[in-house]
Formats: sequence, C-alpha cells, structure tokens
Amino acid sequence: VTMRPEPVSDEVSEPFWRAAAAETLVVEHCSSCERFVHPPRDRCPRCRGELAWRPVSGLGTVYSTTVVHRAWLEDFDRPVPYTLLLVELTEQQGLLMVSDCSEETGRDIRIGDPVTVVFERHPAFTLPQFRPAGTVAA
Amino acid sequence: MSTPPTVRRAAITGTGHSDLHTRGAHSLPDLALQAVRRAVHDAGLAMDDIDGLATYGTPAFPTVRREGVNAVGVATMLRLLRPRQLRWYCEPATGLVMTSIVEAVNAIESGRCEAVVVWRAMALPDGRYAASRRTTATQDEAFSAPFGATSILAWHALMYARYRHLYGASELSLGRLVVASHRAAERNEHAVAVPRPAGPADYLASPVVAAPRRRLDCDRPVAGCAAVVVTGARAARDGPHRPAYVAGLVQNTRPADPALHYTLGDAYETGRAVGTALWDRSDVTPGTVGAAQLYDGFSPTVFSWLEALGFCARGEAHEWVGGVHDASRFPVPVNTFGGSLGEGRLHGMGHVIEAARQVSGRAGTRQVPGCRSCVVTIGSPLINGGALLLQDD
Repeated sequence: VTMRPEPVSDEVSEPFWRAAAAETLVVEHCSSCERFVHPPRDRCPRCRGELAWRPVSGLGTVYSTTVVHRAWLEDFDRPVPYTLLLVELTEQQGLLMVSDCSEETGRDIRIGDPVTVVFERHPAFTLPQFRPAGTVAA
Repeated sequence: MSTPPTVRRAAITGTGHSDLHTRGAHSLPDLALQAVRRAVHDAGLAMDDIDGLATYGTPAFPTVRREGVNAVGVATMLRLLRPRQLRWYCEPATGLVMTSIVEAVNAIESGRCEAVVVWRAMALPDGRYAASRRTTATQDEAFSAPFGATSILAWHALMYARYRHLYGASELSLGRLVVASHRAAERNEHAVAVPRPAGPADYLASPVVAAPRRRLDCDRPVAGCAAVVVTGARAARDGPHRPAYVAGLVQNTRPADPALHYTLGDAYETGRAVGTALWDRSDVTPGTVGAAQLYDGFSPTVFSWLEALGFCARGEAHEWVGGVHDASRFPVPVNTFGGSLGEGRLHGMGHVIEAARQVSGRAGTRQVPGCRSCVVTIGSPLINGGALLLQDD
C-alpha cells in the first residue's frame, strides 16, 4: 500500500489545511510589516506583529526544480524518479512552497515558468500542488 | 576602520585520526580512543597532561543518540581516559565541530586549562540511513514531507539547481571539484579507502540522487574519529612542532529568516557576514591566506564558502573551481587533503586537522609551499556555520 505522510495541523497551521480542503490557498500576512509568512507562525518572525490568514492568487513561478532518484520515503505514492518543484508565489519575493509531480510532467518545467495551484485530494487531507499555468483549467 | 588582530594565546599542537571504516562492526569508543591517543602523542604530551575535554552532542546522523555506542561524549571519554589532571570539560548538546573548538580555545585563553583535547566521533548506521517510513508530518515538515521532500539533500539539490540557472554552472562544475578532491585524498594517508572517480567521465556516470546532485557530491560516511590538542602559546612554543595559532574564530550569529529552509541569498549573506568578521580582525586577506579548507558535506557548499569568503565574486566559484592543484588557475589551494568528499565524513574535524598541519609545515606530500596561514569553514554558511583562521605566528 502506498501513502503520503499526512500533514498534521496544529493550532497555528489549522486554517491553512482547512482552506486547502475547501480548495483555497491561504497564507499568513503580517498586519504590521505587511509581509506574507510561510510556513505558519504564531507571530510575525520579523517584527512580532499580528498575523492574519489571507487568500492568495495561487499563481507563482518555478523558483527551482529537482528530479529525485532515490526513495527517501518508504511506500511513498509517487515512485522514483519524481520531480520536486519549489514555487515562488507572485505575492512576494522569496515566498516559497513545495510541490511534487511525476517526472513526466516535470520534464518540460523550467525555472521561471508560470504555475498555478491545483488541489490534490487524498482520503484524509488535501494538498495544494502547482502545475504549469497553461495546463490547468480555469 | 580596522580592528587589531585577536591576541593569539591558543594553538593547535597535535592532531590524530583513527582508522576510518566504511563498513563492518567497529567499536566507536575504541576508534575515539585511538584518535585521541594519536593527537596527544602528536602534541608531544602524555595523557596525564590533558586537563580539558571538549566535544559536542549532535548525533552523527539524525538517529537516537546512544552514548558509548553510536556517540562518544565526555562521559565515555572520561571512562576511557581517566585523566588524572582533568580540570574542565564541556559537551554542548547541539552545534558543530566549531562549537567545541571555540569552547576549547576559551578554556585555554581564560587560563582554565593548559591542554584540551577536542574530538568528533562518527558512527555509521546500518542500512540506508536516509530512508524512512513516515505516516505523519508535523510542524514545518507538514509543508515539505507530504510532497516527498524529506531529505536535506532535496533542499540542497533545489538550491544548487537554482545556482546553475542563475550563474550558468555546467554539469561538470561540481564534477571537477569532486574529482580534484579525490585526487588530493590519494595523497592523504588518513583518507578512507574507497573507489575514487578517475576523471569527469566517472563523475558523470555516478548515480544521480536528486538532479543535478550525484552521490559523489555527498561526503563519504565513515565510522571513525578525529581529534586535536589545543594548548596555550607557551606550551605550543615548547612543543615538538611549529604551532598553528588560533588567529581568528567566527560563528554565524545572523538569525534565520522564516522559510522552509535556506535560500541561496541566505547562504551568501550569512557566509559573507562570517567572512567579513574573520578578515576584519586578521592581518591576512583572501589574497594572502595560504590555503582554505572549506566544508564540503555537500559539494556545492564549497562554492558558497568561496564566494562568501571573498575568494571570488558571487556566482563565480563554479568557473574557478576545477584544478585544486593548478596554481595558475587557482588563487588559493582548497581542500588539500581531499575534504570530506575524499577523506571521509568527519563533520569538519578533518578540515581543522589539515589546516593545522599545513600551517605547521607537516602536510607531507600535500604541503602547500610557504603556507603560513589557513582558513577553515565548518557547516553550511547558514546552519551554525563558522570560520577558523590558523597562523604560524
């Protein structure tokens, strides 16, 4: 049986996963220094300001990509080789999220390419993933 | 504005490696004792001259630490050595090799101790140490592990892919560094005995772990130990060798920005701060230092340090690394002992030992002619990174 490690939400990250289940991408935003923060924190790590969840566009560009050839995770549901994408959200420079896709899908993806969020449903959770912008139905 | 060099009162006067193994069952305490005895003997001292002990507690791999089994801390060393003159010991729970060097130098310079032995013992777990079975991911890992990004290697691969994209590094940039490191390791009698890539073709034929990173870009895990003896200046002058004085010690003190892990910018900015702090308090410069032993747990870290320490401009290290022993191309000899890539994974203690031996004029066939100073970096620039400068006066 193949699987994925289930993201365990806590009191800080719960809104992220609840929104993902409703197919919305949300990121914390600092009301004081006006910057987005990811992964979630209880206060702004830069200025200790209050954070509030904000919906974001789900658009980004590929910051970097690698093809994983070694199975680090036993029984992971994506066999090696698979592609990891690091996506920089359009909302802010350096606001990065991880995504994965098949090596076949990833083969034509280059750094700088535009990508769009899609929501990948698993029995117990939903993962925000990113795919080339042209391939996702609007 | 320049700051005067630090007063040089501590020196590395002895070095010791245990035998290094890549497989088989070995007693880590036995290996640690072997390295420590060799270092003390090399310093011209007897075990009863040792009055301080320093190491640190971070496990060699992210496994459960078992003292006396897969870790050799102060408790085990006390039991093994039973030093009669011991006055002080320390074992920070976390940190890097530099952490224990800093503690030893502080103990010497404060007058608390006269001869401190510092060691790092590395266990080799059975099987595929990087593979894991995970059903859940908590805290920050909830944003990486569910996507199959569970290894630190994945992050290093993503950052090096970005580096290649930005600066146009070729597939062989790292390969040339890796091959040169293995060539240097052939002249290092302590280096672990492993098959070595003969040239770029062997590098390109080696397995890819996470593109563009290959297995040969990762240091070679070993079971073994390396140790140094740190003494005060007077004992160093009276010792059997030309001393390698501690002329500079810098720890990274910049906070990490909120992120899943570091970015190239973080690595550069942080390393740059370490380098600036080192050179500003020293009378050598990147242009005059004799050699550089740069941490290479993963090969791209050498590029990070070359750029951060100011040996070349940002984004240029890949053009410049290639012939470690080709003085016409290389402003400074790098990893003259083969680095962790070629010698074996000693978390940087091998780098410290090589720097001491180069400065002492005791590097044998690896000796860089006229090498009177050597810089060492430990860790990636960001993560507990630090730098050490050794000089012969």
